[in-house]
Amino acid sequence: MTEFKLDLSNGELLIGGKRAVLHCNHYNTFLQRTLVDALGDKMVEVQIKISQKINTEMLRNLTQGIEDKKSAIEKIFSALGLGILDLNDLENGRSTVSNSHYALNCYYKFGNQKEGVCLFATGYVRAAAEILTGQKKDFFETRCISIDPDQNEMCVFEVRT
Amino acid sequence: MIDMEYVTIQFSKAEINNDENGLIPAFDVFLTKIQGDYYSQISFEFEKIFAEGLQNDPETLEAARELLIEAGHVCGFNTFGGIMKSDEFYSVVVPLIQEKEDWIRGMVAIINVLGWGVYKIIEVSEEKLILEIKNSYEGDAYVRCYKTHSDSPKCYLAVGASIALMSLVFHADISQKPELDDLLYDNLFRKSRKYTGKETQCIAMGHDNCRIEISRI
Repeated sequence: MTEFKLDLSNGELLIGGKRAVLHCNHYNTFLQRTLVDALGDKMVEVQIKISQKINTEMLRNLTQGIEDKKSAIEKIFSALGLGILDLNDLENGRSTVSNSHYALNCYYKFGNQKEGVCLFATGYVRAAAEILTGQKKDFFETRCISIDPDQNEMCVFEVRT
Repeated sequence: MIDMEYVTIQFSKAEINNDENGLIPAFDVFLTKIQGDYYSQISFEFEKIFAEGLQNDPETLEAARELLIEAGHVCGFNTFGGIMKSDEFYSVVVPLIQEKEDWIRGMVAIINVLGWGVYKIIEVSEEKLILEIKNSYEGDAYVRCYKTHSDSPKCYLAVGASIALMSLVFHADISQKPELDDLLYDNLFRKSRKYTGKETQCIAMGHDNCRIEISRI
């Protein structure tokens, strides 16, 4: 299920019928920061929404016919290299990510952040919620390792009411 | 000359998977396997919003594109730099190297396992690099997402990363394993920059393939 297929003749790395690409922490954090620095909150929302859209499509393909969809969605998150996702409290409007790729790398590259930086993960959690509960839920990152790794052991995503 | 197909096949066998922390450490960086559409769509939307805010002024549009190309420099500098200094590169590619250009050929062969499309070298020398890309993920994403052709090329990552590749090989001399730090980055891309580049054809514009041309300033 989390297996990637490399098609050398077309230069494609496929998962769930979608093209994945390998990129590093430096590119990921630099690109995200560049977009937000230039255009502010507008680009925060754009990145979350695009993540939600593309991940909903991919996760729907990957979890079709699978009984334990929650566990599958958690495993896929790790297979993408983004950390460890815990969806056990999703129905109560809460989920967490340990070792968040974006949070750790933003912190190490740019120092303490003022706001959560896990935009891709936020969209992924929203996609997971849509698939597992059948409802769209606006999760936001309420705690992030990048703000203060001593205070925040993990990143927390909650539904804002 | 390096057998690029051999290098591609050898690197395609590498196990690049997540560890117990859900992370993918490799080549001295942490990798992710996110959908190409994510990177492409956030870049295209950025370009669009940036330009709309300033009434599509051509200079403003160019500034937005330069920022996206710079992200490509960061990518190429760290990822290609890490790969070309890695034990894996020294085990598979370095024994085949006969001339400086082979560092470029070896790295381009490895790009072809990253999911970015199929990169082919048309010309390479210290003065110039011409690449043809089949199925570039950026151009491909544009056509699929917007269902139309663009009036300008869209492979910002490919241009930036290709400039970085030439800079690493012919300017920084990656064969000497320099530290990939901020000082070297500033030198290669700001203070004493030696390479520039552009995309002269793009599948987003309706061409069959994308074409990147990097030249010495």
